[in-house]
Amino acid sequence: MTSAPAAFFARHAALAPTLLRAVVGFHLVYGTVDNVTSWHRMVEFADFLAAHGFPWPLAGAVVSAWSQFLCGLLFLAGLWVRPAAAVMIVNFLAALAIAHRGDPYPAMAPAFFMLLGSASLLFSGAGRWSLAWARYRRSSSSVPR
Amino acid sequence: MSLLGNILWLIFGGFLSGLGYLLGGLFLCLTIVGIPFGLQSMRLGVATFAPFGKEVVEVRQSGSFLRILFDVLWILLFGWEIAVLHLAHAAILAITIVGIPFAIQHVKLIPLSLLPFERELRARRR
Repeated sequence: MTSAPAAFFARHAALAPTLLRAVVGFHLVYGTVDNVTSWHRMVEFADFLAAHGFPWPLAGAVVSAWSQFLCGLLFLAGLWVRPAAAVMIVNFLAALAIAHRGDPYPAMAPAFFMLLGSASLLFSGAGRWSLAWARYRRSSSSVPR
Repeated sequence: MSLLGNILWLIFGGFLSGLGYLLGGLFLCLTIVGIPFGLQSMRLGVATFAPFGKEVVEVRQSGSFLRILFDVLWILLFGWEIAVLHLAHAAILAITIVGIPFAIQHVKLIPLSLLPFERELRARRR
């Protein structure tokens, strides 16, 4: 027999991926919106990557900032969450291996949390209260990604 | 130059965009719990009427817990949809070449539409 609080939280377990999408998506968008809308800020990001020994820093900055921004929007919308999570796992593995190599834990923590948050979303998918779920409910033809 | 840009902007869709923000904001204010979001939507509407000659800056009290919390709620409920619309408009206008100055204004409005409690549009300093 389950207790009332446990039953309540089990009934609303579908909120978990939604909350995770909200916080990971917000962090990704918050951290990159100035880079993708201002070339000056993009060059600053490229300089940061160059200082950390990143190969092709400007190309890396553009690809990384835009992929984080677009994947953040996809997380928030709850659409193509698993492909977006896979892209973010590659992005943050590269960030941890190259840009944050040798950093103390507090400095690498945000990238580490984004990596694990994306990995969680890769397993859970978008969950309910997402565009993928709405499309699935409408078509009932394929499992939401 | 900014005045001419703003007049053309208003004629070619800026007025309707701003009006959409204002009406959306008014509707949110009617729900009472949506008043903080409604006020931000109206502020966005006013900014959308005349974006030429202005720049996006961080608000002075940025980073407070309440502002971040409201921004998370905003971005999850309304922000990403508005940002995608601005991005799509910017892409379409940029393709036309003559629409590039207007595309730049749409790109400028993206941070504002995503983080309205953290960013604001101010007259550019000369």
